[in-house]
Amino acid sequence: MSNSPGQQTMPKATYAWRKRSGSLSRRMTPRFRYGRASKSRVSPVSFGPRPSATLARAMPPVASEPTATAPRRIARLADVQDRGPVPSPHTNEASYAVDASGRLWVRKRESITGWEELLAEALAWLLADPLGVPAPDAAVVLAPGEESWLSAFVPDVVAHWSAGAGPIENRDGLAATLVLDALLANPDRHARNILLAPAAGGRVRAWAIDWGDALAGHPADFAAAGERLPSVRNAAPGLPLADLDEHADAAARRAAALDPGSVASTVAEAFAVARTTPPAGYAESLLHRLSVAPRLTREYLRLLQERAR
Amino acid sequence: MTTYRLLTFVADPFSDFRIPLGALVRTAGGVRVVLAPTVVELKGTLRAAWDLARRLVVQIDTFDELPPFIGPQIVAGPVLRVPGEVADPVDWLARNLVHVAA
Repeated sequence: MSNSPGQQTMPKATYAWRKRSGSLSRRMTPRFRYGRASKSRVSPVSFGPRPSATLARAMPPVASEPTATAPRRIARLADVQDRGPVPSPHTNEASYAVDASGRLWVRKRESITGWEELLAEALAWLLADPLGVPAPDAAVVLAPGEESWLSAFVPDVVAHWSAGAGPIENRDGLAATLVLDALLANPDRHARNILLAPAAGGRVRAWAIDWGDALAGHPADFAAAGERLPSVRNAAPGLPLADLDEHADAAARRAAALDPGSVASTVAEAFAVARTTPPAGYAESLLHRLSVAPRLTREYLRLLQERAR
Repeated sequence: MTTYRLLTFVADPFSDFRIPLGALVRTAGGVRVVLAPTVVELKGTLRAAWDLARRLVVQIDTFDELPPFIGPQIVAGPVLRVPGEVADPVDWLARNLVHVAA
C-alpha cells in the first residue's frame, strides 16, 4: 500500500491524534489509508466490450471510500427490484436486486434472516472500513415489509475461497477479515463467504461477505460475551494463516486504536438500521473487545491453526 | 449410461448473459471436465474472470454438487445423457460442446 505524502511526512502518533481530534483536513487525509478502495474499485474501462446494458450498471464502485474522520453511515434506499435468486446450495436467502439508479446488489430480506442478521451485517460493515476489511459496499432498504440488507454486487467474482485459486493479492484484507470475525464473534467464515476475483499476474483478490451469524447480532448475548471467540469449526480450509499473522496484528492494532466516540456512533448507526436499541453493556462489550483486539486476534489465529492441523 | 452437466459462466446474472464454459462428464472411471472453447471475445476484467473460471473448473471432481470453491457465477445445468451411439463421450463433448450448449 502506498502512503500519501501527508501520511509519509507526519509522525504516526501525530497523525492519529489529528485524525481523532478532527484537525486532519480531508485533503490531508489519505483517501485509501486502509488499502482498500484503490484496488477494489471496478473501473468502467476494465470490462472491455459490454455484454449487456445491465452489466454496465455494475460499474459504480463496489467499495466506498474510507472516511477516516467520521463513522460511516449506511445508505438507505427507498426500494429495490428483485432479479432472481443467487444460485447457492443449501440456502435461498440471497437474491440479486437492482435499485432505482440501476446499481446492482445482492439482497437479503429481513423477513428471512431476522433483524439480528441485519444488525450484525450493519455493525460489521461499519467496522470493516477502519480495519481494512475488503467488504463490498452496502445499503439497506427499510420500507415496511421490504426491509433488507444490500451488499454491492461484485461483477467479476467467480470463485469462493480455494487455496488452489492462486496467490492472494490482498492478504492484509483477508487478515483483517479474520480480525473482524474474532471481534464480532462470527463463526461463519467458510469458503463460500470469501469471494475471489481475478487480479493482476494470475493472483486473486479476496472479498469478505456475510457477518449475519455473528454473535454481535444478538445484543444480550454479545453484551455478556466477554472475550469469547467464535467457533472455528466451519472456517475455510487452507487459509494461508502463517502469512497473515503480521497483517492481522496490524489490523487488530487499528481496531484497538479506534476512538470510543466513533465506536459509540457506529453502534448507534447499526442499531438504527436494525430499528432496535442496544441493551446495557453492548457498547461496553464491543469497546472491551476492541481494546484487547491484538490478544483476541492472536488467540483466534491460534485456534484456526490448530484446526488446520 | 454416461451423463454430463453443462457448466456455464454467468457473465451477467442480471441479464442472464451466459457463456458455455465446459461440461462435467460422469463416466465409469469417474468425473471428467471438458472445457469449451472461448466463443466470444472477452477483454479486461471479464476476460480475467473467464480465465480464472477455467482454471477452477478443471479442479472439479464431483458431479452432483459443485465444490465450495466454485462461485455463484459458475453454474451446472441439469443432468443429460450422452447419446448411446457415442463411443467416447469426453471426445464427443469436446468436439460438440458449444453446439450442445446452444
